[in-house]
Amino acid sequence: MRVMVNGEGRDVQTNLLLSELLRTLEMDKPYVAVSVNMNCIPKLEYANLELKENDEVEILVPYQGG
Amino acid sequence: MWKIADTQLRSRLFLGTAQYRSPELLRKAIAASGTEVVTVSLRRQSKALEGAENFWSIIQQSGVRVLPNTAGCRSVKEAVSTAQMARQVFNTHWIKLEVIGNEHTLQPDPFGLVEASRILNEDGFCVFPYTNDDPVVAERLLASGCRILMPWGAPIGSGRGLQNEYALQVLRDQFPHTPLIVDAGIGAPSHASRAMELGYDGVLLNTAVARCEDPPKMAQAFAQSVEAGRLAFEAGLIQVKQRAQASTPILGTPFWQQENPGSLS
Repeated sequence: MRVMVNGEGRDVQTNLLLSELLRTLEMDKPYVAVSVNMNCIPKLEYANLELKENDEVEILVPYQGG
Repeated sequence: MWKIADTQLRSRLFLGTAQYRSPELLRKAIAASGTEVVTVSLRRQSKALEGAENFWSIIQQSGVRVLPNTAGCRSVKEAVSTAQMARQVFNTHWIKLEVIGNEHTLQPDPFGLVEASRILNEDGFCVFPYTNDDPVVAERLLASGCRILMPWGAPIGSGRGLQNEYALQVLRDQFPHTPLIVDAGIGAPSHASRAMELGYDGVLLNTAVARCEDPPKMAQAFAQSVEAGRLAFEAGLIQVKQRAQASTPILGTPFWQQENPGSLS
């Protein structure tokens, strides 16, 4: 199935867990935050959340800000 | 010492962390400013933004509090989601809430701002709203649960200083017990000092330090100007008058000056 990750399409296995996606991307770090379809996902739910077709995943990291 | 969001602070200067030419300049500017609160953001991980881990470690080593922002958000949904993600990453319920309503001026969308503020306050956040200088919007923000207001001085990054001192003074007079921070548009230490002379509780700035020739030195200049402005406010500025008033006493003046009192200075 296809999901969007930070605005780019990506083919992944059906019902891939969010935690597995993060591990694949080497983004399973403590300073990372994730939203799916603009809903912030608590870290404890990463291992239970199955991604669905066309889900929009945003993976954010700390950055400079004004 | 002063208090904001249940936190005792010494410095009244809040500093942004963006646009510095190097991580080292950022680190030195934070130290020179004496600030205890810096603003940070969240961005997509990408090759262009590599170094996020390094940036975050610099901030942590500086020992300052972080005030995450929702910069770049144009809708309530985006701002709420970004704030919740920031709470996870930065482990703070403080949020500088930005909901941008105009691409040209980057001024806040007051309608979206109030709605996002209501949602986030109900969700346990301490909201620092980046707002305009309209007292009606300020009232709505306070009614939504905000305990702090951050009106702009001028468009973000413009360096134009306080464009409407009258409006800022009205806000100060109308909300004497609400912490007020001038956020955005400050370009020179004299602008920051003026905001403090008006009775504002602090100033938040970024570009004026980050993009100048010597950020650590400018950070020090802002620290001193903020302190000077606050001292002046506490000391009580004199009333502005329309006409001259001699400062040297009239009593005991020599006879040749009594013939022409207008020459006294």
